[in-house]
Amino acid sequence: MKKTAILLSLLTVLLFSCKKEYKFFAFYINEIVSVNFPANSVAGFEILTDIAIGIDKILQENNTEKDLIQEITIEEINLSAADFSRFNSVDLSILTDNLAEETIAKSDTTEGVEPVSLNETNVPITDFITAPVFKLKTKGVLSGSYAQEFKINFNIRFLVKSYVK
Amino acid sequence: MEKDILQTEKDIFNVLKTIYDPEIPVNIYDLGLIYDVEVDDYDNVDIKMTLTAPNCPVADNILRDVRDKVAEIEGVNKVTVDLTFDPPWDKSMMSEQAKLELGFL
Repeated sequence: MKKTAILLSLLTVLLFSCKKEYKFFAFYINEIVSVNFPANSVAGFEILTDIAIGIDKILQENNTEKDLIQEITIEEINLSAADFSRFNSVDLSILTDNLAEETIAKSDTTEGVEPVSLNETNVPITDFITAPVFKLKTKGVLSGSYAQEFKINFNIRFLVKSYVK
Repeated sequence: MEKDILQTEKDIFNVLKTIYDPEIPVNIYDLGLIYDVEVDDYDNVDIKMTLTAPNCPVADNILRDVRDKVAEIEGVNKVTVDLTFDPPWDKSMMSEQAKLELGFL
């Protein structure tokens, strides 16, 4: 009798262990990052931009949380600028105070192609995006020195894959 | 150009037809594992689906595949994949083509 009870309990555990209490979920975060190139920038230089996307609030609005995230990737990065002829190349890296820098996108090296297109490197970036603040480092190689400052925008689309309860 | 909901649903069904349970040579749509697909006005997609059995060695892989491939469809905003065993799947839920392929006809 005792053996039967144990077997029944085991069977119940097996049957219900696969029953999900969560759903699989995916959503996008769109972020526009503006970077100002100062006047008289030298041909090659780096600009650091602090980004606080408010990840905790975004996750809360989407009924999920950091522990339930499986992966965050970059789905798309587009660059917009008034004059692409000023660039020879633009590369983008991500870093935090605690995480070492990773290159997330490199510009197409084909000369004279406008607009400059960026190729994502597909490195894992979950830890960066879930940090309260991360930094984007823009490495620009300009085609010359320009007397006036100018601005470029990165339109970044992150794909968040997670569970929801 | 904005995609309409019908086109998005069509794209979703086409994607679902490319996903397989590794042990069954019929896609999950024709297998009858998809119970419901809803697309709202904001292009948020809710998919309710089941598995052929609740003991689920590959369940996570299939659900993840559904979520990831549907999320890649142009215009889709959010994707939620909800696993249910109510009602439980049975052979009658398969398409005629699937029954034929698996030798049930």
